[in-house]
Amino acid sequence: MKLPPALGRLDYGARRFWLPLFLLWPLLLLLFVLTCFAGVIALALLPRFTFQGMGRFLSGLYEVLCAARGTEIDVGASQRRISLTLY
Amino acid sequence: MLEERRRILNMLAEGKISASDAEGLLTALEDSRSPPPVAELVPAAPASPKYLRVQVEEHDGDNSKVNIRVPFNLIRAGVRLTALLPTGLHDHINKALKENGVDIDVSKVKPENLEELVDHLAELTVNVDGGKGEKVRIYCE
Repeated sequence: MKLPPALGRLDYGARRFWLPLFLLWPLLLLLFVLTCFAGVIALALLPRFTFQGMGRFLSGLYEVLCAARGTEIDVGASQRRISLTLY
Repeated sequence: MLEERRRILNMLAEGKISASDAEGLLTALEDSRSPPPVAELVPAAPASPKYLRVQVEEHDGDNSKVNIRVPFNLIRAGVRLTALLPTGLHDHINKALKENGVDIDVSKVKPENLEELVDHLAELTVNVDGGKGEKVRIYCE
C-alpha cells in the first residue's frame, strides 16, 4: 500500500530536526472526507461535475503525495545550509 | 553430445558411413541442441534510474550550492496528474511556462513518453559551466 511521507528530516546548520509527518495523515483523511462532502454539493449545483472525475483527480493527487518520498532538497551557502529530506 | 559426435567420427573412421553422411549427422546433431536460455540471449537490462539529481554550484565568493534529488515516481505521478487537467488549463500553463523561458506544450506530455524519456536519461549527464563560475549538473541515479 502506498503511503505519504511518514518522516521528514530538516537540517538547519548544525541542527537536525525530525518531523513526524505521519501525524498529518489523519488531517489528510479529514480533508478527503470534506472534499467528498463538497463533491456532493457540487454534484447538485454543477451539471458538468462528475464523481468519477473528482475521484481520478484525488487519486492522482494522493499518488503525487506518496511519490514525494525520497525527495531531497539541499540549499546552502558558505555559512548557512538548509536541507529537507522526506522519508 | 560429445559421445554422439565421437560415435559418428568412429563410424566415419571405420568406413561405415561416408564423409557426407557424417557431415549430415553432425549438422543434425548441432540442430538438435536445445536453445540456450533466454537470459543468455538477452543482455541484462540496466537498472532503471530512481532519482533525478540536479546540482547547482555558484562560486561567487559565497559558494552557494543547491542539490535537489527528485524521485522519478514523483515526476511520473505529476505527469499523470497533468493529463487529468482540463484542456482549458493547459493553455494557461503553457503561457506561464513560455513567459518563464520554457517553451513546451504540456498537453503533449504523456506518461508513456515519460517512460521512454526516463529510459534514455539513464546514461545521460548534463554539465553546464557558466561564464561566472556557476556549474549545473543534471544526472540520474
